[in-house]
Amino acid sequence: MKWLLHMAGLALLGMLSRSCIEPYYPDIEDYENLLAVDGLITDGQDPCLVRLSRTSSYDDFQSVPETGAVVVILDDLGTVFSLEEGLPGQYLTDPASFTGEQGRSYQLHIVLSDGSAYESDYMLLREVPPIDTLEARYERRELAEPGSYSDGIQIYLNTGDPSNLTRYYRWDWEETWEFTVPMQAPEKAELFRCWKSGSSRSIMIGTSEQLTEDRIIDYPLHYVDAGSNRLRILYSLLVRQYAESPAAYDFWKRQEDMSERGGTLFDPIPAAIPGNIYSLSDPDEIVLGLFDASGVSTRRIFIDPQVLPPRVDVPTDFEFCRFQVLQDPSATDINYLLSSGWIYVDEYNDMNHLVVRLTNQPSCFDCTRTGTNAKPEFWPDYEK
Amino acid sequence: MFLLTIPVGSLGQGDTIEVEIKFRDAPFEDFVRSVEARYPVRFFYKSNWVSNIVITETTGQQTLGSILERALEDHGLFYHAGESGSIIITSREPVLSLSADFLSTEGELSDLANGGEVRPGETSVSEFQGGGNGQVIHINGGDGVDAYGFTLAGNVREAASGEPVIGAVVYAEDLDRGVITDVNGNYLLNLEPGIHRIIFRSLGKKEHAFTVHIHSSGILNVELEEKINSLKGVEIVAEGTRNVTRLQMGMDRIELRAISEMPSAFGEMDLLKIAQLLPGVQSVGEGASGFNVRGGSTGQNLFLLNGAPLFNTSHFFGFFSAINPDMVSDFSLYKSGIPARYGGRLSSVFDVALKTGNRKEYGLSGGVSPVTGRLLLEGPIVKERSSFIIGSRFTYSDWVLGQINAPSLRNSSAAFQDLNVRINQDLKKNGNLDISAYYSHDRFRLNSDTLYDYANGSVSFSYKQQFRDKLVTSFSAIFSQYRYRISSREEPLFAFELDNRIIHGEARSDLAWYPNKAHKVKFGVGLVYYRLDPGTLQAVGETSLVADHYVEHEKGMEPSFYISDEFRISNRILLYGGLRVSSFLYLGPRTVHLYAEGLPIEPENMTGTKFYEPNEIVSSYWGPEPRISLRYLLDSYSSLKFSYNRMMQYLHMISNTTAVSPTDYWKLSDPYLKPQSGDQFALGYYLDLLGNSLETSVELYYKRMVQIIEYKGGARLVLNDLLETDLINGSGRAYGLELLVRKKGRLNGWASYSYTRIFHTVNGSFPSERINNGEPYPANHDKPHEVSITGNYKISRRFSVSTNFTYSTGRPITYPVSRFMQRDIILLQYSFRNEYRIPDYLRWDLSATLFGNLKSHKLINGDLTLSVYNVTGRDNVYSIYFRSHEGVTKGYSMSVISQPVVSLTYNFRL
Repeated sequence: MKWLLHMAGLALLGMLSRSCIEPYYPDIEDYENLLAVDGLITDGQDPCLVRLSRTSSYDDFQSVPETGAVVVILDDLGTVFSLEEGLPGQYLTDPASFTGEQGRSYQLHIVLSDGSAYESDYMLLREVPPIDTLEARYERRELAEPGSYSDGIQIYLNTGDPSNLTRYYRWDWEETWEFTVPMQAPEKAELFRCWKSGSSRSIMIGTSEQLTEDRIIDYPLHYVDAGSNRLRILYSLLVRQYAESPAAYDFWKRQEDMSERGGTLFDPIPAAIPGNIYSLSDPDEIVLGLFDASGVSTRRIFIDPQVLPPRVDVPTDFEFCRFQVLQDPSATDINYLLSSGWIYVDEYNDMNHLVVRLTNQPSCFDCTRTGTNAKPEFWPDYEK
Repeated sequence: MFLLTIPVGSLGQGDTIEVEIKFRDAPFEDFVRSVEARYPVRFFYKSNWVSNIVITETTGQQTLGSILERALEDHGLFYHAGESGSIIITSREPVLSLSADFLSTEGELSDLANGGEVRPGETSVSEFQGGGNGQVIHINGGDGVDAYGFTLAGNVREAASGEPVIGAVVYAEDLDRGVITDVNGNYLLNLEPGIHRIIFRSLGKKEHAFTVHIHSSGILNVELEEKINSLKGVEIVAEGTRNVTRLQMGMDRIELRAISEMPSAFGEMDLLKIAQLLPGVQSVGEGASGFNVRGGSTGQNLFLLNGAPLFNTSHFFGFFSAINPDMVSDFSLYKSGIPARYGGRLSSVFDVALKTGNRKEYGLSGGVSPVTGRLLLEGPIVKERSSFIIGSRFTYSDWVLGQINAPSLRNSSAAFQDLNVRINQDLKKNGNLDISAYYSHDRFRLNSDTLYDYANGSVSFSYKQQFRDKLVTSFSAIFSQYRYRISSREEPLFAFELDNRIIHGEARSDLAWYPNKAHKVKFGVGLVYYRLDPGTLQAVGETSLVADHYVEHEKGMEPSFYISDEFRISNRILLYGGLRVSSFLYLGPRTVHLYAEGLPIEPENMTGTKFYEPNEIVSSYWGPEPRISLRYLLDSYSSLKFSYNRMMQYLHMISNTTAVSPTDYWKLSDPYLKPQSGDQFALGYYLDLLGNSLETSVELYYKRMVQIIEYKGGARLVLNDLLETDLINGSGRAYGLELLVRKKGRLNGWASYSYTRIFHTVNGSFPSERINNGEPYPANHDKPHEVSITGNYKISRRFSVSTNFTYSTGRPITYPVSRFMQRDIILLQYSFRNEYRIPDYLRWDLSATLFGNLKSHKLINGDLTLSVYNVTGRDNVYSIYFRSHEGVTKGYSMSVISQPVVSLTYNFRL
């Protein structure tokens, strides 16, 4: 009788969870070649970037830049600021002549090399409140496989606008962490300690529109998995917060629904999401992307591995490294090893013996292969 | 002492015969025998009427007529002499005319010796032992002569329980026409005076034929016995010539006997799953609630449970229907040729009739399956005149879930219950009162803190009265409510409750008039009152920061009337003409948002609002809905049918998900959302083969729908005060072909193939109001090919096997075809709407049923069904979706059931 129950339960399980999910490789023939505009005006010091590209196939990692276009920003006072193309398809403002100002509205104008012209809606550069707190809390998560877990730090964000005006928020982050290589070569100390960075690649938005106060409480911004070496020495996260207009928030929300959710019985039907850029020659032409303007506020958090409980073992990410430490090797030994793929690290004298060290991967002793040894200016000094 | 005289003359009026026999103090029956032996006359009479009559004295020179007059007058009896020597003894005034062929009766003639009490004007025929064919029943309601013919009306009930038999065929064989009994078991047949052979036939019952002599209109109530080896399982009722002769096309009627035999998931078959096996009815996928009938969307079907609309037809994400199968007596699905009495939805009407309860004795029955339990109690209130029935279903799935240890199920629960109660009471003088109530409740939580809770409730009250024999009137009052709630309480700061509710209140009156055998006129008026609360969000608990949000409620009234006539133009041609006129008033209080002329309806183009007072008419719509059907009999085995109907819909389902989801809700037509309307033309050819054991049909149809609802990309449907900015309207075009072959007998079932195409076109004036650049695209439920086969084979009286097989083309899907970067995030760009298809759907199910010992008087009768759903374990894809994460886009396919599901169900009956 128990097997019958189990059967029933399995079928229930099938329905209630996302049951059988498998990778799927659709046979997609072709796609429309559309213009995609990615632009953001902020009140920060850095030049503002407007990126023009053409759509690429969905599993393609390259994007095709749209070069040779004339890209210009108009503010609501009528001042014109032109952008210069740096890298192909990337058009930048000149910080000397342009800085975004809170309260101003900006409009984007584009003329492509083939003559087609586009313009965007006016976007108001809104004031953005500061991020109140970023909290790092240890969490143990259960994975899909019963009995398996992952440890990590979940970073929560709290912010809010006492004047209840902001309401719609967007975030992105940059992470930086310090790492070392397993083998320190004394002659090459600069190859031992490095830093690595990454930036966010997913949509992070939040709103307080359904609350009585304009507050974002405990937004789960980012989960740092203790299964990589990020949390081994010191980890830092810089979070940027933007204030979105309702229309821009709507764009992101719809994109989030389309791109990042799915796999339940009640998935919404995908459809084209309008951006805010329009073709002046063909009103039916679809232009992808958003031209946005927003103030930026930032906050940085450092996470020390001591936040993790002692039992959590953070890997080095260099577990693949192997070393050969040879004492007084013969030339034949060394040549044999070198020809088998081992790499020479260094040699030194230890009590009248020649010690030669070899490794299997250059990144095992040279951290610049996987990071940079230039210490970021925000990195604290400390003794380790 | 009798003198024998050779009669002279030919057959003529019997009463002018001179009776030369002398009688003295002869009992009437002796007199009759002697006279019949000698003279060319035949007597028809009831023996208990004449048992006291004595022929005191005859002279030998009197006419038969005068003898009879003297003998009968003191007893209040009369006689009538017919053309060919028949003498009929009646208790009323003599009938003035008789049909010429009244002597062409078959079988022995006898009086109503075995009948029950027969009151003048009403004839009851109860259980006949051994045969029953050929007994002559005189119908003499005493209503006098009608130049157009008389009506034979009455009630057909099951002998054992007194339950009305719905859909029994009452067929006048000599006239080659018939009627079927309605939802109360009543029938009404127009007949010329004279003798007719009337056959009463119903699935699973012993057929009875009666020779009926119509003297005037009258009532004949019949009870039919159950055939011991009655076919169980699902069969389409279409005995004999129904497929060919009935006027209705695009309609399937299913009588549900013991549907427990069909294979299913979780061991509980239900009528909605059966409906999906019919041609033209599709669902979007496994466990998806909602149907698409001939290309219509899921919100275009009207489900009626004893006249009360049911807004959510399933429990448990579509795996169980909300209708308890034990309670169902009969169910009809109208796909085209929808009669004028129905309205309010474009694509179909599912009319479910529930049982009324056993009028003779109490009964308890039920069943147990892996996830649900069912219990049903029924019995008489006043024997033979009224009955009650209570049916309930409940789940113990929470307990089952607790036995399974899987993280994805942690913190999940699912449960449902439903309850049906019905009381049916016959009143004096052919009246009937019926009260039926229904309640169902679902509660589930899917691996998260969010709790979904919904409930349906309805009450219908109906009073029917039959006047004379030609007029039936009924009055009904119906109330139906559907509400759902989504709530989350885990985070006190964000704890909320989101409610949604629809109320339907209706009063209607229907009249059916049968002036003569050529016409069946129906007329009715109705009024529906709607109140909808589309979304109420409330904070729960003191610390919750959730702001209360109340989307303005809606009110509306839908008055309508209809008139129709089924006109028998000739024996070959039957024409149904009906007109329904429906209207809709959208009432205040209401705040209507106004938008700038010439600009798209977007929040930024809003210019102001206008407020309407309570009950002020905000907008009004109306429309005629003609309904025409024609049947042309080619011969007694085949026919051609044509129908045209127009339907209007004022209540719309708002849903942008493929399946019906808990967050779908209903909305009334308003200044921006015009009513939907649809026209359907259908043509069909029907052929019965192999002596009616094989029925075949082919139907072609074309449908055009306007003002269908589509949604802008990523439309926000929940708690949207400006919903009109996210809805766009379009038009739809559907066409298709349905082939159906049905077989009765020991191997029974049906096989169908349908080809259905449905395209939507959304071409508004602004780019944001166009989908696919305004070009037609396949709708989300466009599945061109579908094959369904269901079969049941009785291996022996105690053992039967069933199988289902279904195949359909995969539904369309929109794939992301390209991508672009926005702020280091990959966003997807989608193809033209529904340009691709998911893989095809194929499933095979098997089941076997073992019946308990069929001894009639066992205390508990039970049966056991073992069922395997999805025998091949095929991984049928339900949906395909794409996820972008950390710069990588991957496709995934999701299937709901990817392995065979075995279940065991036990049903019992006390």
